[in-house]
Parts: sequence; structure tokens; C-alpha cells
Amino acid sequence: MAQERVIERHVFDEPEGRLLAFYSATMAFTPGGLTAGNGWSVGIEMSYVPFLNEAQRRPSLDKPEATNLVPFFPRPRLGVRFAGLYVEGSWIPPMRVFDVEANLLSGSISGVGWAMAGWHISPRVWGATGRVRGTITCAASAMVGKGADLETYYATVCHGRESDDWFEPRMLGAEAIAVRVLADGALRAYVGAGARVDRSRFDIGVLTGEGVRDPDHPILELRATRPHFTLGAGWHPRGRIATGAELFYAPGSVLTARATVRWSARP
Amino acid sequence: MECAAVRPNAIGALLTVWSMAAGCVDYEGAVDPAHGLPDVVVAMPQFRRDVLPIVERRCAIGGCHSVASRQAQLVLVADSAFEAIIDQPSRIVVGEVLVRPGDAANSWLAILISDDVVRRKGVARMPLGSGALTPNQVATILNWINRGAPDD
Repeated sequence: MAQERVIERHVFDEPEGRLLAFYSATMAFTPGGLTAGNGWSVGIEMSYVPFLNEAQRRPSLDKPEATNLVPFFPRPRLGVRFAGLYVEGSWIPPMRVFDVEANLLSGSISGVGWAMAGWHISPRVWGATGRVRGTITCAASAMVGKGADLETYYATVCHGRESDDWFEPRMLGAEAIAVRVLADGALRAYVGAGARVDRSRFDIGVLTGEGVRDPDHPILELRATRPHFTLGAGWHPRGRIATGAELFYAPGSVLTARATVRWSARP
Repeated sequence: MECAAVRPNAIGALLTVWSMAAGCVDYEGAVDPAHGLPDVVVAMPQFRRDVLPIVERRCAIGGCHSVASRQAQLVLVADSAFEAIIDQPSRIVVGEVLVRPGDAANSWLAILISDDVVRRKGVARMPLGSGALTPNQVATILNWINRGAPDD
């Protein structure tokens, strides 16, 4: 009988939980610098992924793991306003960027909200899921030729093959976004606060000699609900092009910056 | 306007610099050399109370000495760890015995978890690819072997 994969559940305070939460936070689907647009719009968001030092990226092992694979995380965005709602989606098709292959789906719905003391406050819900594939746990470049211990590890535990590891973000978030319109409508500054339920997983993809996943390695799953905050602004002077920037802070995980450029079908 | 002509490049450069400056990881790496196990020397250790927890946590893990992976044909899960090591030959180095009761100095298991490369005869230190056992944990295992490696 085939061995079933063990799912190891980790809370946020465990080292494994911290690492999972860091990577999922970098993929949170926040406004990204631009709040609701008019009609249809398409855009591209670029998010910075800070590098982890050695201690931060090895929750329990001493062997090197190739986790700093992508310094920037690009994400296309498609939005539409209708019936008072602003719906936005994003799909990163499975293509290789840097040393990873991402296939990620994200979506959000922003409500009408209400005005208060010069601010407009809108509720927003979002989700993100998918898979990011890369060689993390068994990377030949980090082990072969790097000493007898690592060579032995690569030959035995890794079966002499590079791993096919999967990080799977599985998040649902909700937040309130307070927007202030300035400069005759050309500048929209906002602050946001919310929380996300995070069940992201890391599937340790050690491959056997036959090239199938070694079932003796667990799937790590985060079990956490975490707060997050955003501070951003969008610049849309005239015409169809708008730009925006955002600071995203997930306490205990990451502070990062995002920038977005968007083209609207309607000026 | 000149200003309008240079704005896209200026904004792009500013955003890049801002991103790099603003981004940071908001946690410290938590390195626990004891891997959640007690980090004390036990003078009169018992196998199930003091040694087996170390073996289970650090050796009987996926990819290593679990039932499925059985590296070096050695399974160190709770049910079989004791029988697997007492007076059993090493599958890697001919002539070595994993645990010689009462003789830690000549027990291959004790040698493998030590930092003595020469005595390990070139074999990688165990646990492989993971942090070494703490000196206290090693001492506890040696004490258990030297007191006759009883199944207690």
C-alpha cells in the first residue's frame, strides 16, 4: 500500500510557521498602490521580496536551502467596476521567472463603503491560491561539491536528484481601506488594516530515483490568522495611465513595497 | 515640458530604490540547537525516557531512519530502535558495531554523532544535513551506553 503523505501543521510562532507566513505574506493580494478604477483596467504589479538570511530560512536544518529564488514578484491585474463593486483578479500563468515557476490566482471584491470626515472607507475581501514550484530542499548547486556531508545528503536523502518543491499560498483576507482623494482627484492616498486566514503549504518535493515524490517527507501547513496593514497612493492625473505605490506590513513576517502601473479603458 | 519628459524614468528609479530600502523581513531566525529536546546531561539515563526521544526526533525522520527510508538499512522508530542498534553491525563500515553495551568509545553510533572526523573514517556526521546533537545530548547517549545500554 502506498504511503500517505503526512501533513505537519504549524502555528505562526514555530520556525516553520514563520517561514511559511513570510512567503505567503509576500503574495497577499492588497490594492498594490491603486484603489478602485473606472470601467475596465489592466495593470502590472511588482512586489519586492526581501532576502532571508541563513537563520531565517532554515527552520530546523543546517543544510543550505535555496529559498531566495525571486527578488521581485510580478503580478498582472485585471479590474472592473460594476454595480457599485470593484472586482479585481490576477492570474500568473505557469511560466518560469528567475528560478521558479508560479501558477497563482488571486481575486478581490471591494464594496461601496461610506464617507467619513473627508475619507472614503471601503470593505475589501480577497483570496490567493496556486502553486510556486522550485528547487529548494535538494539543490545540486548548494550541495554537490560543497563537502562530504552535503554530498552524502544529496546522494542519499535526495536520491541524487534535485527536488521539485511546491509552495502553495492558501489565503483569505478582509480589510477596510480608507481613501483620501487629493489634488482634484489625481491623487488617491489610502491606509488599510485587515487580517488574513492563512493555510499555506510547503510540499517537500524530494524525488525518488524513479522521479516520483518521496512520500516519506511531509507537507508543512500553516495554521494562522494574521493582521496586516497597507499604506499607499495612486497617481492618475489624466489619460488612461495610472501609477501607484504601496507599503505592505505583515507584523512578524515582512514589510515590503509594491508598485503598480495600470491602463484604464476609460480615462 | 522637460519635467514631463524625465518623469517616467525618475519615477521608476525612485520606486526601485524605495522598494529595496523599504523591504525587510520582520522576524529573527529561531535556531534551537536542542531541537525542542531537553539540553541537559543525564548522569543515569534510561533508554525510553532519555535516549529514545533524541533518536526519534533527530534520526527517525522522513528521508532518514524512518520505516520507509531506512537509510543504511537502519530503522530507528520507537518500536524497533533498541533492537536495531544493540550489538548490530554497521551497514556502512565493515567491522563496526553500532552500540557495544558498556563501551561507548568503541560504539559506532557514538562515533558517528561526534565531531571526530578521523574516527568517523570519512563518514558524514549524524544527524546528516542537520544540526549536531548538543554536547549534553551526546553525553547523555554516551552515559547510557557506558552503563550497559539497558532497555529500560
